[in-house]
Amino acid sequence: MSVAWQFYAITLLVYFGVNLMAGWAINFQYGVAGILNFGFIIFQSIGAYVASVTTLGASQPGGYQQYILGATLPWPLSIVAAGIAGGLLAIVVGSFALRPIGRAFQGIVLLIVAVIASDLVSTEFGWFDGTNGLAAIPKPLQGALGLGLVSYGWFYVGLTAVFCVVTYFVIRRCSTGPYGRKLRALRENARSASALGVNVRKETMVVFVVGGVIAAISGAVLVQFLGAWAPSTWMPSETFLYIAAIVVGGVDNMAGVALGVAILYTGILEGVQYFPSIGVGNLVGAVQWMAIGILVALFLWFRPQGMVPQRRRRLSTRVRTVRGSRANVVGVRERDDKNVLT
Amino acid sequence: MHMSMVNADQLPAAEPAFLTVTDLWRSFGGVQAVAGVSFAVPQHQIIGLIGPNGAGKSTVMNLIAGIEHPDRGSVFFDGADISHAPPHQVAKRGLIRTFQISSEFARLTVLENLMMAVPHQRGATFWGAMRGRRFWSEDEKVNLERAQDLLERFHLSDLADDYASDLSGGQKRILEIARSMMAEPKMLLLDEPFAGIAGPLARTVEEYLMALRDEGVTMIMAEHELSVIDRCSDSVVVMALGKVIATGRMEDVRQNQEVIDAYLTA
Repeated sequence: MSVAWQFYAITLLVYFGVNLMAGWAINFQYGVAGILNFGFIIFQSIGAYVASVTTLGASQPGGYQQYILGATLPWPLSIVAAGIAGGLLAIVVGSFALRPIGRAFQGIVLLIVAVIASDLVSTEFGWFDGTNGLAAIPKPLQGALGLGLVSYGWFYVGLTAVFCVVTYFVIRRCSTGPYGRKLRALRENARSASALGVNVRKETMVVFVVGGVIAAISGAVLVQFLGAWAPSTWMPSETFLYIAAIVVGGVDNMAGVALGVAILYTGILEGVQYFPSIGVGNLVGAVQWMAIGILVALFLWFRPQGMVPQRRRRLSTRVRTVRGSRANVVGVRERDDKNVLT
Repeated sequence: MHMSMVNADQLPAAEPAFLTVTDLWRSFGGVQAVAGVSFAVPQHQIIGLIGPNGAGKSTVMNLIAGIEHPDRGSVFFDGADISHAPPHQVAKRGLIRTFQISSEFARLTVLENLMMAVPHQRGATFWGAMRGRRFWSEDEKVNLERAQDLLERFHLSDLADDYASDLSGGQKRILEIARSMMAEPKMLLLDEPFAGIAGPLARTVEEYLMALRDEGVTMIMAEHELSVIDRCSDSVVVMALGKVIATGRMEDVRQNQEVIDAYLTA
């Protein structure tokens, strides 16, 4: 493989890993617990910013970029700082956005928060250098490892994979067993769940924070690969790409989300890059959004459960009577059960 | 026997009250849904809460369960003031409410619906879940047995692994009653538990509720089907237009002119 192709593959894989982490996180919030987080992108973004400023060193007065919290934390600590920032932001935003139980209300409030955050960060040049954004963000361990550019790229792919595995492990544990069941009950009917002793606000907040921390870490992993971050990379509309990925792949199914991320980000967003540049200037961008919009509409209409639906958890341990056992023998089962990957 | 504006202390209470509702008021906009309701529920009894549509029965249940909070008045349960406690805290004290409209967890299986209601599960917190299956699997096994026993009792075993959304209306009501049993209640607030449950199954549920009462669970049952109230309840509270218009034994209340008027004019 030529160097150019290797770089391309490395970029695709790191992006896939980062989007997978984010996709799983938003799926944990929305797919499992029913929190419609239209402001998801700000959590990824704060992780990216914090990971940047905590490795860039102190901001120089009169320097080419101005920012707060300048520091030079060693590598894993910058990621930890990003995660903590994501968690804290989730607590602050969640304290007012999650207050009423109404899901639509939560979604709208979170979207508004994302729009305000985007505007504020764009105009406050003292925070993260406004619309210019931050650049020259150091790559973790690059000096210590002494690898060439391509080898370092593959190392970073491995690093991203490790983060994906940890994310998978955490979310998988949280969404199976009694805890996952409780969160799904909350998603299905918060009022009934609270009448059975579930503290809806507390549980929603925990999920919101867990999702926020993972989103922030995904942002940190991405920014340390890219080396730059600006408001144009985290438009509030980016959240809808993640939601589109889980709608297409399968809400509340981790394998489905992986498939959705692969199709949307690696398939469609990359695929349309190869469109010939004819007609209007921003044809590629327009086609990307159109393709995604149409795909989501088609899925919501024809296959709302997504490509890989929620897994039905069969807990029953007792021998069934005729009805159940016959169904098992003949294989009369609903279609969605055959598509189980997880 | 005319008993309008009954006070808690006027009730025939052989045992000390388990639940005491005192002078409860609640309005929604211009509608006074509950206007000075007081009654007391002794332990180990089934109290029928009856009255025509719009009498305020469901609102009283919501006020007791913490889903709504009273503008005025108090609710004491098992010695504690729960007037302004949120629903999950009321539930944790062992007071469980079921709803008039089905409120199953649709995309959870029947068995999961039951399992979800068990209080204090080891694996039901974030940190418990993070510790992995080994931490909670024994606990889960015990609960699973209990849940499957309950399903057998209510003839829902065949549907154990079906999504609750696939059940019929009557089956959903039974599921909800079974689910509330999993919550280990000291007291149940049953809002029209028999709506949509037909014939023999209704008898099963009825017998089960009476058996539960004998095992020590106290109940308030709002029900339109007065024959059920006749058979099950130890005494009744009759409401109309947000007020308690009579309390006492069903056979006495039937003779009460105010009750007859309320039912005829409603």
